[in-house]
Amino acid sequence: MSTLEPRPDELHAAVNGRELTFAEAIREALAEEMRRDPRVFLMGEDVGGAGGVFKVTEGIQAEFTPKRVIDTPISEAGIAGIAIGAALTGMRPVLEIMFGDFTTLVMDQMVNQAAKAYYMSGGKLSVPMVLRTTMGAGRRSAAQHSQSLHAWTSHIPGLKVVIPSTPYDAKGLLKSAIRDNSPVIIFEDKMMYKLKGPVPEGEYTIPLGLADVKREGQDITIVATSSMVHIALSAAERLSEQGISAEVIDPRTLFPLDAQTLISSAKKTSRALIVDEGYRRYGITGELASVITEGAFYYLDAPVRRIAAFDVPVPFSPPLEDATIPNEELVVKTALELLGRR
Amino acid sequence: MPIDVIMPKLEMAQDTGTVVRWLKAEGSTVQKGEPLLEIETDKVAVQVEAPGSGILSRVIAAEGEEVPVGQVIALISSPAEAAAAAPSAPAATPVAQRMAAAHNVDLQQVQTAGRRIEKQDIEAYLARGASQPQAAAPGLARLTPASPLARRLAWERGVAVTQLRGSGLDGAVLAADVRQQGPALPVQSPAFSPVVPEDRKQPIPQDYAPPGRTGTERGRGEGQVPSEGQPDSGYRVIPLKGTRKIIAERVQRSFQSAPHIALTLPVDMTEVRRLMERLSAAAPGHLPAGNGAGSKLGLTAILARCCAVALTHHPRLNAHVVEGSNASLEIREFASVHLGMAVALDDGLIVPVIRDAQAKGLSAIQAEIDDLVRRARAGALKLEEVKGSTFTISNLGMFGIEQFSAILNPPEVGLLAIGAIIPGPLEIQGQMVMRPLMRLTLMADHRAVDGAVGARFLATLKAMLENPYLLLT
Repeated sequence: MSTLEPRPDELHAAVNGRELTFAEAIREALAEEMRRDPRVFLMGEDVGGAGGVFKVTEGIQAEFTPKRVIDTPISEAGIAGIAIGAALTGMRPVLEIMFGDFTTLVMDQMVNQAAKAYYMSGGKLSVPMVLRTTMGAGRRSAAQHSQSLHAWTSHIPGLKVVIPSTPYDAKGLLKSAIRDNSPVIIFEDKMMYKLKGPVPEGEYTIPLGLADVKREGQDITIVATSSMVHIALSAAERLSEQGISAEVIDPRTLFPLDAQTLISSAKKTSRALIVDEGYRRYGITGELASVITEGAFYYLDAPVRRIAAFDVPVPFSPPLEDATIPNEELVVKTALELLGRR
Repeated sequence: MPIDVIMPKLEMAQDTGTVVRWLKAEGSTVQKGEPLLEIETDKVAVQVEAPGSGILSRVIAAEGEEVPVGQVIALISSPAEAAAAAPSAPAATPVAQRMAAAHNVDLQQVQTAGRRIEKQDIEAYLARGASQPQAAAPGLARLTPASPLARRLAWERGVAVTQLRGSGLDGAVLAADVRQQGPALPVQSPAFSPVVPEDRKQPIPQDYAPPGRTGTERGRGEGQVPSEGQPDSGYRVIPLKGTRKIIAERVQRSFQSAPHIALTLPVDMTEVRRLMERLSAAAPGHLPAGNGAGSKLGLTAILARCCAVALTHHPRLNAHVVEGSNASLEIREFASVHLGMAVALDDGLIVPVIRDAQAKGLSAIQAEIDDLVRRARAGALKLEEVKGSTFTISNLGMFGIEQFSAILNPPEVGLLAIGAIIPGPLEIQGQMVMRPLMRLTLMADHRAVDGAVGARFLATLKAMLENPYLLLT
């Protein structure tokens, strides 16, 4: 997005200032798509009467009836199979898996069925489904409810992976995901559901595969995903107090990946830092770092650095849990190191 | 401050020089003005004198290495500096020395931004400690640590990263270190006062070449090249290097940058032949003996003399096309004729120069030709004898070549290609008569010389050769 053109969300905020929470923006996207297309329906554990464990789908069942907002048994593999079957027969299911940690249970369905159907049928079948799930630590939910496993599905050809960071992006990307003919997995950081941000009234979508420059800068590129975008933005603000102009880029989708925006930014600033809340080893940060290194090598003045979650099961102890998550302090410190200022 | 020894820039069109041989070893004492090394340019091998006295503390460019002009190739330090830089005694403050001893730190491994290792340098070293990769084993060849951007900038600016002091981790050269260096190295060579054009793109430093920017891809094909004279390959490989490489680069650049035109005119050489016979018969003792007896007036001397005089009438041919101060091209017409004479060597050619040829008589020119040719073949020309020519003549007549085209010697705009004297028919007063004819071909850079201008020059030359008594006027 060019500097001169105000971003639609900024423009909107300036005009009428409507703000929604991250959860409200998702709810609005779901409701709009369900009104628009009768094939769209929701299913998941507690999505109906309870409105979802994080209250994302609150009130949706009242409008769309239990026929289109289906509470399911606690059987992730089973409900994923139902969603895939429904999608194969022409429906557009939106499946909620309460915690990203439980996507391990749907892996066979998603990896071996959803991701493969289009290819193995020679394009005769498609699986236009969306799987919404959560990520992110910091909620004191311990090791089995705090992981960020988005790297797992990003690894699989045939799946698209969306990882929004703002209410505006969440709404626009979810609407595109529902209309997409491929299986799309959306990772929502559970710590962001109450985050407020400008969301204009009315119809808009954001294409999958388009990164967003959240803040323009000249001296260092910080690529951040999901809630890490906000950490990066705070860090950039602190860096600016030291006269350092940091550019913050949000890929928004891990596949398709807007590599060009990442590379162009790194070429401009000569330094890149990747921040993601998944585990560090064999993770998103490594992939994005190598994309940048390959694309911008001769423009880099320092090794690409990355900050990710510690490679440990997320601890239940709050101080220890916090210590495993990338934070603003660490981003600032690493950025300064990259810039040769210590 | 150590004195920089710089690859001298010896002539306008020179980009690089090759270090042939160091005459002094690293660590030896040198006196200002004494020969320090031999370099090879596109013209000659020449000795470079030490720009100052002291100790040759560091040899940067290895023998055989081709180095952009203006680049530092060695450092000469004062004895005190050399002692300070000696590995046995890194300067450190007493506190730093105590800390180093306490932590069993080798002071030579500690980097400092200042002149002496201080307490914080030791602390920084200890803090980095375990995470630091060990330095490469001594003697193990490795890249100079430098960021990719720094390498690219250095390449664009014609600076070798090996010459820069790095401010990054492990002493890595960063972009800022290159930018600090400025667009080109500040040049100061008492011996030759080289000048580096600001925007001159230099060849890629030896240890780095970005892909797609050069044909010399590293790491590929090396070792696959058949060695010289390898019997089974079916061909013999002669690497383009040394003089051959220089010639190749120069003729290619000339051919590509200067739009060549060729004009040929036959000249009746009857009178020149008569002149030569008369002169050698009538005044054998009057011609100077270049080196003993044997020296006699040759055709080349007469051609050189006529050419020099003709050029004074046609200054546009006695000119260079060069980049002017505002980076746009300009023609420079010269008042004096410095005549280059192409001399064939075993594998190569060299163009010694007769200075102020327009002001020299036949005997002087003949003596100079004899001397220059002899020393050219012996490889004993001095640098100033092969630079600064304003026009070049090239003679292949002795091989029976009737006429030929040649590549201009940049930045000159004209070259006279001289063919053999061959009897040919000429119509004189209605009669067909056989006369000794010589075909002169003027090669010219059309950017400076139009066809008619060249033709008028050839006409003047022809008139002089057909009536050499004009030389007396």
